[in-house]
Amino acid sequence: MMPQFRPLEGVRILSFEAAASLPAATRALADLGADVVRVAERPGTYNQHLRLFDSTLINKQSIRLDLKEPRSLDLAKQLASVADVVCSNFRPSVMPRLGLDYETLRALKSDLIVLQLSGYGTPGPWQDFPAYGPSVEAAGGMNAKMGTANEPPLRVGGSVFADTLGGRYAALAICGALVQRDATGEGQYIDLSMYETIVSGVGDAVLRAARDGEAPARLGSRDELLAPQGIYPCLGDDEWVAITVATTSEWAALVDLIAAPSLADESYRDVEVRRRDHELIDGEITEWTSSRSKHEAAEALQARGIAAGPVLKSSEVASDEHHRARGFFQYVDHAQPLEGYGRHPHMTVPGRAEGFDRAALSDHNPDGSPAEQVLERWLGLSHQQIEALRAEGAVGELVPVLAADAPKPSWFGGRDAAREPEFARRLGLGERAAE
Amino acid sequence: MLRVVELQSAEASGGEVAAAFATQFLQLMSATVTVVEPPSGSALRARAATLDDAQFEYLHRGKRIEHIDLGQDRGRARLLEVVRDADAVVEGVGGDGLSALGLDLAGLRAANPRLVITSVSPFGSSGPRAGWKSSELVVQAMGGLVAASGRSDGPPTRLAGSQASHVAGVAAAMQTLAAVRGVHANASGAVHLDISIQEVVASHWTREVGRYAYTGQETPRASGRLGLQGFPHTVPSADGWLFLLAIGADWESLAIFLGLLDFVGGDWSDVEYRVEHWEEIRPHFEAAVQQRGRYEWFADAAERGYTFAPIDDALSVLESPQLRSRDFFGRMRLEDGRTVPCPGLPFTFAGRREEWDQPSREAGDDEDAATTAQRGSGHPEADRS
Repeated sequence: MMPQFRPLEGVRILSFEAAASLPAATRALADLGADVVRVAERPGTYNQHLRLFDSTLINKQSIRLDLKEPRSLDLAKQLASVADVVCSNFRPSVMPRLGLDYETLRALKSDLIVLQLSGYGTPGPWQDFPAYGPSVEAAGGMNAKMGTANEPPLRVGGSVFADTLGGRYAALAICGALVQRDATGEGQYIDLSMYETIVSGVGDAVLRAARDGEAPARLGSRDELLAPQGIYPCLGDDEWVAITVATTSEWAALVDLIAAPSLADESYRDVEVRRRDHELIDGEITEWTSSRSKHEAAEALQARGIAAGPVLKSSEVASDEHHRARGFFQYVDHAQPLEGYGRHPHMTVPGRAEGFDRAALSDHNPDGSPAEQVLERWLGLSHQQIEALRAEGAVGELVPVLAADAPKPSWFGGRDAAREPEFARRLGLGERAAE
Repeated sequence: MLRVVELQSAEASGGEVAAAFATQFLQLMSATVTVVEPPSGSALRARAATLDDAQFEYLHRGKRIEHIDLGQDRGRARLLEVVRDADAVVEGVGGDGLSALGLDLAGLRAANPRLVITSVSPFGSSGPRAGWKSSELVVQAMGGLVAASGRSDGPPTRLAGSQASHVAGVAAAMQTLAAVRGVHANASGAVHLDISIQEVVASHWTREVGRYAYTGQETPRASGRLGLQGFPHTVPSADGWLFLLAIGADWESLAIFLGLLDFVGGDWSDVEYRVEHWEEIRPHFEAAVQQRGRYEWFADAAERGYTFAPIDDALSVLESPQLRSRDFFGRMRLEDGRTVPCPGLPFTFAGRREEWDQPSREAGDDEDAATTAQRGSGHPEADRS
């Protein structure tokens, strides 16, 4: 056993969070050693979609405060006064309305770092517009650049790409503010717009459009320079392999491998000619890939020095041997079975630190009382004092909503999603618990 | 102010764009970034010489570039000099890249024991695929998102732009700063971070992987089909595409908002019935949305709590009133003398935006000749002044 990499040890983060974006930020920071306390307003609000957001609750402790009650609000302020970071992704008007605006918080602790994450950012004419991740992906230029010129805009799969991205940028901003505070002694107010994270991510295309006066062409999965590049069908149902040919020697290796006489013409050594005849080349590659599994195809191409990889589905990401070898997934043991199983694999923060173990992952709902532990650790309150607060109703625990009561897991195309019968065995979940 | 060194090589490794993104974020957060590339130029520069797609300019804003020949003792000595004063090195030169450059971690650490070294590569430095060749498309595909992106009746589709490199750049910058904080606070010593782009892409797919882990359900591709509420989400408005999203809204309220009064109540309240009879609703639905512009729909929907959005492209997003009012766009001076808007960071510190107006500057351009000569970059261009 090596030590865990915990560069944020000693950093206290008080997070007023909901949905998926900010929880992704504080989860990453918790994995890096920060002490994250999540404030929830109502019992059970945190996991209305238990199965979906479970992973963002790992390595945090939660405390329930009814922020409309003066005694609870006072506790929130006491916690803020001993925190390093206070962050929120409640609607931008909520924190000021509760009396937890930046000026008030800064008066409690002058070097506090405060972050507000919202759909479009504050201030601005759209500051109060509600948004989910897919809305800002659409507005920020992602959808319009996906797919090809003759089809409607497409969408990123699932529904939390922008949320996760917003969360990751929030974690970046917080780390930057911590480094700055350590150097200057000054706190910071950070405003983060999820919409802007998408625009930044396609920023080179935006700069190019500003320069050329037109949006860059939509190329589907092709590259503007390298050819051929694409996603090709393989043996089986909905199985695909991604291929990029980057150099002339890789092209020669490909032609040799797939043994397509029509591609042997010397003129194809010129990438411009390959781009011109991309359709024809795609046809020949498809002929070759269609009779192989995506893994066989990728391995054969890699053996010839060509960049290729199977298009992995969720099931394959979760059970991928490369991830396993790197320890990317860790099992989280639950105090009580969830969806019938006592443990599930979850991703750690991506990346490893040499000489350190990956972060250990602990369930969000461990034994004991997280609220009591937080009040004792952060504020030094005694058991009697905490009991008194409990009796007043000023503080409470989060009560998990059982998964069976939770709403449908996905609003995007989940209507006919079948359950794979073998998934538990494939993921090593162990025996199913008795109902 | 942090000092950061970015290492690039002439060979494309699959990690070069992500490393450049990472240090670009740090630069926009006030770090001083020195890009070290070979005298012949980096793989990023070579691509830019063939394809004028603005990526090089976007990724090099405000950075200082120094050409160093690491094949020579003088060049390696110069690099160690640069690294001695740095807080972090971010490299995207690939699994064997450091040794191919004649460098090793021990040597860099000997020069600076508090140095944070961040390596960014497609699959990380360990595991059975560590040596695999990759590309932006390949690593996107292996991260899980691509399988579920695209039309339900078509192939999986890549995400726009260099998203894998972009998200990996964010993760690498964040972990680099966390590690620097650890060094400063003595929470941890010098450290080498091994960032796998595949892992970062997968981590943006946490929820869907979690869905499989808890229920055994895959996430299907959904573009072009009716959503769970029985209507499509991407629809043409009077002046461009509109994204219709109203999670949790009941059909009656939404239909009245859209002006579809003939489809309210009775059987139409049942989502299965609506899906079955979608061809009856479709012409009316499309005509209704066509009545107004996408920004008009967006604002009115927001008042009702619906999360509609205009579908903007790289050109129209430049006109966004939200982005303009927030000074999101910095200014970029082009080679032809024009200055054009360029996206900045998606967050502000105390409401301020970083300012820059040049894509990059070569070492020597703004430096005293004696200093540059003394530094002995090993590159004729850099030594010229």
